[in-house]
Amino acid sequence: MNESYINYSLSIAKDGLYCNGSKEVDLQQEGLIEKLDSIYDSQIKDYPKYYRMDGMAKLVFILGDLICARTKICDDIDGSDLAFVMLNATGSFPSDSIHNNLIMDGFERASPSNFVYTLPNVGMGEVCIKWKITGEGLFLIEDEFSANCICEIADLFLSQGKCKAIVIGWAEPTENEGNCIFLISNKGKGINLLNTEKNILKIRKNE
Amino acid sequence: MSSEEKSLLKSHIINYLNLEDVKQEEIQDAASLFGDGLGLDSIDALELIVMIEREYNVKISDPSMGKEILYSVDTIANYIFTQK
Amino acid sequence: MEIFITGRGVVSALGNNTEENLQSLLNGQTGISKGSYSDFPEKYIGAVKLSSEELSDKHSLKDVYGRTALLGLTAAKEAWGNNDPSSTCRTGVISGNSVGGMDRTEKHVIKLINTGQSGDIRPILAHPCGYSTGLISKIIPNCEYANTISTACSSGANSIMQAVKLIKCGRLDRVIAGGTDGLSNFTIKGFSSLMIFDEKRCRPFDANRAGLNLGEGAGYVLLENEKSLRESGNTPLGRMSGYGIANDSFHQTALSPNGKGAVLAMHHALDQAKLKSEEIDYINTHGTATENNDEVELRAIQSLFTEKVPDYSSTKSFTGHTLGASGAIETVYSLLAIINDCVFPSLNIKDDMNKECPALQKLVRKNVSNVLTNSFGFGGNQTTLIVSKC
Repeated sequence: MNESYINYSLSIAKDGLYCNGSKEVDLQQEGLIEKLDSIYDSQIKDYPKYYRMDGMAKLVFILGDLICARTKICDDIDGSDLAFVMLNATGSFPSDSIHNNLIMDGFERASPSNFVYTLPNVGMGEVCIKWKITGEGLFLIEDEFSANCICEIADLFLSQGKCKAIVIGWAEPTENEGNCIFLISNKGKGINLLNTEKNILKIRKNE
Repeated sequence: MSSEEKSLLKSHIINYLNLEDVKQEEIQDAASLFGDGLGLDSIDALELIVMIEREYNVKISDPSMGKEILYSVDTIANYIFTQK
Repeated sequence: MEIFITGRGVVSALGNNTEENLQSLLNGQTGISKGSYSDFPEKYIGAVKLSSEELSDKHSLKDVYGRTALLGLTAAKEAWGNNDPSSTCRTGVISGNSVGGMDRTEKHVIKLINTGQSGDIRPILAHPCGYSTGLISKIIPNCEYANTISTACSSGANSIMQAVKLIKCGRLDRVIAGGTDGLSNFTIKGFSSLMIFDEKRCRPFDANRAGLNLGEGAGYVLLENEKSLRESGNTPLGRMSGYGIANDSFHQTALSPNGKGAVLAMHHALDQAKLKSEEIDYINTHGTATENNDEVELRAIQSLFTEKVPDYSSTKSFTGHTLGASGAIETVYSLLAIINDCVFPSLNIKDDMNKECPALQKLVRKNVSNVLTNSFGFGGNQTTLIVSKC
């Protein structure tokens, strides 16, 4: 298998948003949603639908949108050549809870817009709509973050020759830190980090 | 519907659709809510149907009727009024 | 590299194993009925005709696990059959679902609220989407790799696609791949809020179709490369000859008017299978019977199959929409079409949606060498698989 490279990385830590290992945005808020809203207000602000997303979709959207905006990957390659994969442990937990509470309260109808978010891949769909990404996409469930899994899946997609680059990340809405996303491709020798377990872990821990 | 009741209707619309960045005053009574208006879509239409049932006890059982009824704050208000 | 299908398993409203499903398909016998899910007696639903207790007994398990896991175990066991463990062939499980153990958890939560007692917590432990994959991997000896995929209605199809990729890149030699989803109040009430149900039996590709019926079930295939085939000595039943996946990038739930994601997915699959469009003998469509899906899916098919649209139908008219399991169940049905040289009809059509290009309404016996099957999930996730004769 060819070597692959982490061309760009983003990580949301307790104290800030880190891009390629450097803190770019200070985040003092306690909760993840407040952090995300703050990032949206200061860094994005051009997708009003953001406010109507649930916690999971907001997280995926922030990570996916920022990496596409900063790397301009959709200018470099066609949207059909960009693969997009996200992983987490709890699926669509925020909306699952809300939906369950709604249907238990005795009222006949649940919230349709909330129900749509009980699918963890819907947030990815929003990123694809905004950036016109029509390439391969998956959402996987793993018990916990695995740097090895991220490396392997990136290499799997790139080695099949159906994509020129992959955006891949971990979006766990129940975790206040450690959510991260990577742009990985076969380009970047000598400039970008090698796509290895060690490097993925370092980035996630903001080392 | 009185202007107070319409105001309440608008606040329900904002709450149910999570339109956090929209103020009540920005929603004009006769303006289209969909397409170029507030940019609402088919899922939002379904959400409004749930809102009308929950808050006003008025059912819309055929979603294809939704287009006409949900066109604007005025058309929603008129429908609720005629059903009560 | 060829990817062979050497095992298959399916459980649905049509039956509790592959043979029962096949007989129902051949006889035009629907599995959808009113009141088959007791909490919603007025709804037409394709429920599996085994209670959770009966499913648990089948696997000698205590009745605490969700239907998704139990149905998955049933179909995966059938697909695995009597294969032996291997020390030289790397084995994995890739499984998709959307609802996890929700049918048990939602009842457990109510009990907890009413009694204040949590009682047996196994239903909670069996809640996550990955649990059913773990349960299945326990019955696959020397299973060294497992993935769980959750992409809504394309979960099962994407799992099969992921398995094909893992074998092609040399990571695994044989994989049990597919999907499962059990019915729950969570799901039914959610889809109710989308006002997407037909009050009667669903009518895919009918001019007056009014929405879908939900279903449940599981489907799995055993995929092997040539190395694994030599060791197992299994007789191949068919081949996974192509896959394609694309994002429609249009709307959370609705398909784009020109079905660009669907066209891309089908195009990629044909390309990979090195097949011309006229070599496809049958399309097992996503065909949910919603106004949007059927209209757009046929438009997408027509735009790609410009010479002649192959025979096409929706077996969701037999099973209901089995959500995360649907792509996998329909892959098994595509395989059955190839093995039995026949193509299955769409039921309940009274007035064709497209008179020039209507869906198949009767069983047709003919040579079937290549079947294309579509699975479209919310979030724009569109997947196409092609199953071919050996």
